This record gives sequence, C-alpha cells and structure tokens, in this order.
Amino acid sequence: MFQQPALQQPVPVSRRTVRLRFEYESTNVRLVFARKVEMITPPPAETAIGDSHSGSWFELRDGNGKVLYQRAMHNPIRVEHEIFSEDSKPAIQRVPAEKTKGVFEVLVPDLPEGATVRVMSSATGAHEQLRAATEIANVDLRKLSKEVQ
Amino acid sequence: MSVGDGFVVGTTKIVDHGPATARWNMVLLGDGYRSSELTRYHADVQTFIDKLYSTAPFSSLWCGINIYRVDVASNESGAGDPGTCGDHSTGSGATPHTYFDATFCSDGNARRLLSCNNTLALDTSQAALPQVNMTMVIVNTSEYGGSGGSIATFSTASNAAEIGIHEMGHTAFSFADEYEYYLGCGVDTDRDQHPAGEPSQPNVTLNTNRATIKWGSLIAAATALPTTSNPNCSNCDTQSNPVSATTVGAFEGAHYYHCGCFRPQYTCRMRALSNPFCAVCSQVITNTLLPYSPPEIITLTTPSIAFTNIAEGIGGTGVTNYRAVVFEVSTCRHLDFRITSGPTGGFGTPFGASAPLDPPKYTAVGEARVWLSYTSTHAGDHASGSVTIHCDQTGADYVIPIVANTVARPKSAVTFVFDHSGSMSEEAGDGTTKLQKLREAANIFVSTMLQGDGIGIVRFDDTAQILMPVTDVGPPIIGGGRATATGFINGPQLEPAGSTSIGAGVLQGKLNLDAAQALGTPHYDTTAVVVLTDGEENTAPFLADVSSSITANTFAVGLGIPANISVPALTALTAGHNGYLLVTGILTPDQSARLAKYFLQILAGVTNADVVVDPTGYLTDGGEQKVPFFLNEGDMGADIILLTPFVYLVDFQVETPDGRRITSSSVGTTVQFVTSAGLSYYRMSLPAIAADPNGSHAGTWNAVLKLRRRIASVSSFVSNQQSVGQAVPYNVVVHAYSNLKFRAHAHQNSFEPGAAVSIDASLRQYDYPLEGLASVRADITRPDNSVFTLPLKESPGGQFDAQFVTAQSGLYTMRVRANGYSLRGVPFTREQTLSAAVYPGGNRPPKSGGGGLDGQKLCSLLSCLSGAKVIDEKLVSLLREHGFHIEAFRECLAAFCRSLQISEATRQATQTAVTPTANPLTQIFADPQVQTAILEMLSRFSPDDIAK
Repeated sequence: MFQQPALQQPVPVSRRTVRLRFEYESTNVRLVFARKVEMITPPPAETAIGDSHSGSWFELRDGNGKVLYQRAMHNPIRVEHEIFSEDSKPAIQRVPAEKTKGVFEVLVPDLPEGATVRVMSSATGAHEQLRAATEIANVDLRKLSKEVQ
Repeated sequence: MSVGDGFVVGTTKIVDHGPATARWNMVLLGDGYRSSELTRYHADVQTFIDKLYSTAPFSSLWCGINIYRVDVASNESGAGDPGTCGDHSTGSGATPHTYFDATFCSDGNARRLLSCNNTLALDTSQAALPQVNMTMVIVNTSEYGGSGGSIATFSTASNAAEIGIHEMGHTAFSFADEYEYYLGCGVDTDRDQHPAGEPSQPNVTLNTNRATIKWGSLIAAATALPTTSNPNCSNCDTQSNPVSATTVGAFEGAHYYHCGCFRPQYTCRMRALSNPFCAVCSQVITNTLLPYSPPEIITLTTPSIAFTNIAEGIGGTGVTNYRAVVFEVSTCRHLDFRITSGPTGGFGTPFGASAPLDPPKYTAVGEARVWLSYTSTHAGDHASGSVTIHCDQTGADYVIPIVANTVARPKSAVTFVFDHSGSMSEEAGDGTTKLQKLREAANIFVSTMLQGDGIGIVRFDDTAQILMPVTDVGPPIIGGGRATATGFINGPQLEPAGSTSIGAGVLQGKLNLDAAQALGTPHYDTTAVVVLTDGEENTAPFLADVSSSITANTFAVGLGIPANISVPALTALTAGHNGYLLVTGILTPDQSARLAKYFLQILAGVTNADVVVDPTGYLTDGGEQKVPFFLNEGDMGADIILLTPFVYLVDFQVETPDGRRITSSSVGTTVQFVTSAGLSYYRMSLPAIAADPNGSHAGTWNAVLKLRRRIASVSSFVSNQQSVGQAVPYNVVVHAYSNLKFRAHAHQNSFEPGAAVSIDASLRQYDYPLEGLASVRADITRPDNSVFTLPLKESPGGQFDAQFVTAQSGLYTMRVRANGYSLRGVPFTREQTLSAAVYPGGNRPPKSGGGGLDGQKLCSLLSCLSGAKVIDEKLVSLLREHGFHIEAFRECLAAFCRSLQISEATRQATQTAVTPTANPLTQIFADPQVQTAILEMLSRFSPDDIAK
C-alpha cells in the first residue's frame, strides 16, 4: 500500500529554469522562445530514459553529450485527441487529429554546463505513437544565450 | 488571435502558500464569461479548487501549491457550438466572441472536444505569472466537454473538472493513459499486443520483472506478477479485480493495448475518470511537488499566557475569560497538539485538551489554538500555573507558564450634554415634545447604568453650565447619583431657552469629566460625553474649534431631521473620538422608543457591551409572548431590558436555555431585577443560576412577556396614542457583556445626496477574528421609509464591508446585524444601528470662529483689558516710555473687531465658511493651549459679564 513519504525528504532542486516553447505543424517543430525564469524546475525522471524507449521525453545535455536532466512528457505533438463523453461508451476514446498543429513547452534547469535541449518523441503521426522515439527538436542553448530573455 | 473579443481584467492569488519562485504554480483562466459573469467565474474557480484540494494526494501537498485566478472578460458568453459535427451530432450553432475562442467540436469530428486557443492561453497565463507550471481554462458552458495538451480545458458541467485533473496528469506529471483501448473495447482491431519499446511514462510498463519493474518498491512480496493477465488479447480484459482495490502489482491492459502493457493498479484516474489516482501516480505527484513544499515550521507565538486584570463579575460572581495558546504552523500534514500536563493553578480547558490542525487551505501559515480559561475571583487576587502541550507528530513538548489576576470592574463616567435651546419645546413627531423625549430616554439611560459608574449633566443653549458634577450612580433605583440625575433631567433646568452653542456644551462636558478624574477616587477607566441636540450650532465656540481638546469617547444624538442638525460637525466630532452620531428623524408614534433605544445602544458602547437583539412588538391578551435570543459561551453577563410605557401591566420573565424561569421574585446574587418608569430589566451574570451552569449560560433564551390584566380592564391607563387598539407596544433590548464583540461603523464621503456610504464591521471573540463563522447584513431604511438589505462581504480578519449610494435626501438608518456561530459552535446574534444623513448643502464646512477662538469674545476681552478701567494714565505713560503705544494698540484692536463683524455678516449672508483672518492677534491666540485656557475662563462668564 502506498505510504506518504516523509515531508522533510531532501530533494535537490534548481531554482533557475529555462522555459522553451515550441510550435509544430505536421512534423516540423520550431523553437518559439527560450526564456529564463526564476522558478523551481520540476524534478527529473527517477529512472533513466534511453533511446530504446517509446513515448516522449526531453533532456538537457552538457557539451560532451552527458545527460544532466531528463523528464518524460506526454505526447507533445497532438496527433490524436482524447475525447471525454458522459453520455456514451466508452467515456474516454481517442480519435486521430486531422491537423497536427500546435504548441508545447518544456522546463529545464538553468545550469551553467547545460548546452543542448533535445526533445524526443515517437508520436509524429496518428497510430504511430508507439514506435521507438526519435529526436524532434534539438536546441543549442549556447547559441541562444544572447537571445534568451 | 481573439484578444479583440474581450480583455484581461486582472490576476488574484487565491491560494497563497508563498512566493511563486518557490512554489508549484497553477493559473486558472476563464473563457466565455462576460464582465457581468465574473462573479460566477469566481465561484466556478472556487468549485475547482475545492475539487482539487479534496483529490489525493494534492491535499497533503497543498502547502507547496499556489493558485492564481486570472479574470478575463469576454465580449460574449459561452462557447462555440457548431450546428454540425463529424460525429453526426448537432449543436446550437452558437459562435460567441470569446477571448480564447473556446469551442466544441474543435477538430470538426468530436462534439465533446472542447478546446481553445492554447497559445493565447499560455501567453495570458505567463503574462500574469512567468513561473506558471500548469495552465487551465474553465469555459463558461454547462455542456460537458474538455481537452488536453499544453493546457487543460474543461467546461463547468458537473464532473467536467475531472477532465481537467486527468489532463493535468498528462501535462504536469507526464502520465500515460492506463486504458487498454483506442476507439473502444470491441471496436479496435489493431490493439491486441503492445509494441516493443518501454514507454517513457512512469505509470505504464512492459516489464513484469519484480526486481526491475518501475514501481517495484510499491509491490508487496506476496503480490503475484503479473497480477492479472488478459486471456483474450483481441479484446479488453473483462475480469474483475482478483486482489484488493489498493493492491499495487502489474495489471495487463494499458496504454491503448489489450495485452503486453501493464498498469500499476486495477484502476486509476488515468484509466477512468472519477477514480482516485493509483499509488504510483500519487507517488509521482508527491515526488514532483515535494521540492516546492516549504519546510515544516512550528512557532509558539504565546510563550506565556496572561489573564491580566480580569474584572470581577456583576454581582460578585466570577467572569470566565479564555486565552489561547497559539502555534503558528507552516505544514503540509495534519498535526495534533494536546495537553499532556496541567494546566495547574486552577485554570481550565474550555474547549478540550487537544487541537488538531489541518494544513491551511489558502494561506501559508495556519494556527492551532489550545484554549485555557480563568474565572475571576475577588479584586486583588492572583493565580499562576503552567500547561504542557505535546505535538504528536514532531514529538516536541511546549511548557507555557500562566498568570492571572482579578481587578474590580472597570468603571465608566458619562456626562450628558443636553441641548435646552428654545427649539426643544417643539413637537417631536409622536405627540410629545422633544424635551419630553429627551427626559424619557435619559431616565432610561440613568436607570440602566451599572452600579459604580458615574453620571454628570451639562446643559447648553448659547452658553453652557454644569448642572451636575460626575457622581457615582449608586445601586439600582435607590442610588443617590441616579436620584440626583433624574431630578435634573425632570427639573426646570432643562426648560427650553436661548440659542445653540454645542461646542460650549461639549467643552463643559469635558471639564466635568476632567474634574471627576482629578479627584482621583473613584477612578473611571472610561469617560464618555453623550451629546443630544436638535439644532444647528449657531453660537461660538463651535465644535470644529473645541474638538481637539476633547479626550473622552464622544457620542451624539441628533433629535430631528438631518437638515436641521449640525450633522457634518457632529460626525467629525464623534468619529474622531471613538463614537458615532445617531440621528432620529421625526419620531412617529411607531418609533416612539427610538431615542431610548439609541441611548441604550450608546450605553452599551460606553460600557463595552454588545447589543444581542432589539425587537419591537405588541402585547395582546392572547397569553405569553416569547422573544428568543442567543447567549454564548463568550458572554459574561447580560441585561434583558423591556421598554414599554405600561411596565407595571406586563409580567416579564426570562427563560433559560434548559427551560427554567427567572422571575422578578427569584432574583439572587447573580440576577438583579429593576423596574422604573418605562423600563424593566434583568441584569445577570452568567451562568445565571449557579446550581445550573450548563442550563443557564450558552443557548437559546427567551424573554417571556404577558399582560397581567386584560387591556379592557386597564383601558383608563392606556391612551390611544400609546397603544394600538387592544395591544401594548414593547421593545426588548438584550445587551451582552461579552468576549464576542461586534463593532460596526459607517463612513460617508459626502453629506450631499449621491454620497457613498461605506459600512464596515468586525467580529472578534477572545481578541481573535471570528472568520468564516458568521454573516453580516445591513437593513437600510431610506428617507422615504423603503427598506433594502445590503449583505456585507467578509474579508480575512473577521472584517466585513459593503457600500451603497444615497439617492435620496434625508436620513438613512442602518441596522447592521450579525448572526453566526461562536468558536464553540453556539449560535449568536449581534446588532448595531448606524445612521447617515445627506441633504442639499450638507457639504457646507462646519462653522468655526476663525483661528479656533470666538473672535467676538476675544474682542470683548481684549477691549476690556486694554480699557481705561484697567490701564490708567500712569501705566499708559509708563508703557509709552518703554515704547508701547496703547492708543495704537486700541486702534488695531478696534480694526480687528470690525473685521470680525464684517466677516460674520458676510458668512451669514453667503452661508460659507469664515476664512481665518491672518491677523497677528489671531496668530497669537491660535495656540491650542492659550485657546483652552481662555475658553475655560470665558465660559464662566456670560456676554453681559464681560461687557460689564
């Protein structure tokens, strides 16, 4: 049975965060902005996520490619919709999206050694969400440093 | 972009657990709410917050969460609802212009897909709060629907908030869906086996290896893995749960596939709405929010408890007071504080020995209070002891010393300042003169005063005289001070004559109180001036000039209509001295007791009592009438007062909460019964019956009234004017001497019609704000006698406020009433009457003598002092030798006096204020100390005396 952990459990936190917003249309993903925000970054995934995984995640790497931070995310590219209904069965169902266009955001810690942000996803089209993930965005923070607000 | 379809009104932090930089921040937006519907939006936000708070595990992580509400006003109401949709459903065809363009069937295929402009929503929420973690949009439509993505959107339909919380699971906590189908069970043909590739999300897995499964730490050793297997991978698994609902294992069927993928628990909110989050999801939410939780801090804010100077009770019985040991707590968990030792020294624990504390819902810091009590004994007594309080969860012990002492009941001295100008002989409106009304009310006031308090009387017309120095009223009925006061009130000294100098009267009232205090014994803890006037001040000194010298609490009653009374000056005087002005208006026969009730309310204010209830009724031959009222555990004593012109015809009893009757013949040390003209009252300390403490204190009491004889048999006593047919009018007024205090004030920004009147009120019990336990409203009677009710809005700290605009000219009477529950859950009521007055010309500045001094009297004085009778030729020569030319001085003085006469004539002609003359003499005498000294001297002389 689930037990509530002690509240005083030490958890390392980053109090500086970079918010990155992307917009996508079909399989084209574009960085809209990267913005520094004084806020606590959500904690990283508890277990490492590798390229053999399916689904979606994003990660911050240093200049040598070492993963500094990694966190799973729900499908950033909405290739389908989740429909909720009270008056029919099933109460939840999925329907493919005719247009894949939208925005998503990620929050990564603002670390001095942070170099690149990668967004990985296996969902780039309807019914394709479960193949191995591929990189859909790669942002070099060092090149953006002057642009980051 | 649809920013043209509305505008952002502002942002409010609803749940405030600390700085946004250190907390997990949710921003709530609304779409399809017009400006006029934002109140509904606020309620919808509250409903969602309540829902989220009650959703585990958020309640136990609440201290790490901030929630902000952004008010967005759309041009039109609701959401888009296309007439046709790809799923063959039909809609209303509505296309309202809303800020975020929320619409159903937003993909063209699914009616229930309610979504909006996500980019604009993100921009709006980040403009309001850059640190936002989760943005949600509530759409003003009762149609069920919602959607997910970078934000969560949901309608106000019941249960639609479940969509929002499910989608938040995806967006904020990266959860996968745990249902095992795509289009539906029995519909899908390509969902038999989950493909290879471990899902990245934390709540689904392909792995059933106990040693390596993601949530292995939560799986009991006895739980089989997999816990369930789907026997038919071509369809959803229909087997029931073979283990307990809370068992964590690996249940086959998840992430849109019948087989090959496992979920942690049989069901979860990520599998079907309205279920709790499973243990794995709960732990992920917990681990995600833990970094945002502040450290637990417990601060004992009352390291010692002092019951300082607790008064003896009425009639010598003890008064019980409560004080709380207060812990200020910042925490995310439930804490229990309980007494493990003590209290020693005879102190009590009125609310029990423990104080549980849940995490505060809207603020960062909550309070746990362990209450202690002390019952006063005899003046001069002291007590001391200690109490030990233990916190079960932290193991900490807190030892708090307690001290107490009893003092004599605080005494009050009141000086009446009565107008006896000529207009007091006019009719009051109910067939009696104003002077008669004054006499009735003042006698009731004197009769009701507490033993040991002092009374003095000043009268004024164009001058003022002390009729009665402040004197101890003595015991009820037979007290010497009461008899003397009654003699003056009913005597010829108040017969109407002369003009109106309220300032002179107030000044004499102050001097009367000062003289009493100068004697030293008895010492009065509170002093008050009670002014009654029916006119506008027309003779110096004016109130504006003497106000700064007044130190006593000052109350005023204006007898008559506002336009005839110095309302602005009296308002300024009383508001600056912890009092207020009440204006009676015309006293029609049905409001005959209004002045007496005003006086009783002022008496309550002077003695720090509260008005519990104040009903009016008529007594007939039909048997007993019961007038219920509530007393609570914070009430130490009470006066139950019956006002009726026929007091000897009424059998007046009081019924305790447990049904016992207190009668005029059953009084004792805790209960007094007093009867005098127009008045009967019971004065009791609580509990009223020592042998029945539980049944004669907190609860529902009744004043029981019954005619002693049939009205027909006493008709010779009952004039038509004072009775209504075969009915006897009465008022029951209940005052409580209480630790539950209600105070109300009115402020008006102008005295002209159109003025805004603000009403504010506060409720405190044992010096702590009474929050969330009561409602306050004002029943407001307009000048045309129409009535409306204005609810006061509660804000933190037990404060309430509301505002209205005066559309009519005349008197607004505000009966401000509170009802709710005490800290112990006992019902209570409180009320206070206030008045506001507006009339054309009301903003005319209060009269002033210029420079704060009566210029005419100053001229008279200086003319006298510099005249030949005082300064003979010898001194004139001597002064001239020293460079002082008395002739020139006399010329200057004469010019100054002429200028004052011109100014006064101009002022009277134009009805505008006198601008203080920048004359050197005026400047010399502008010093308040000089003014007071001169005024005190001058007030002893009549103008004729000075002239002589």
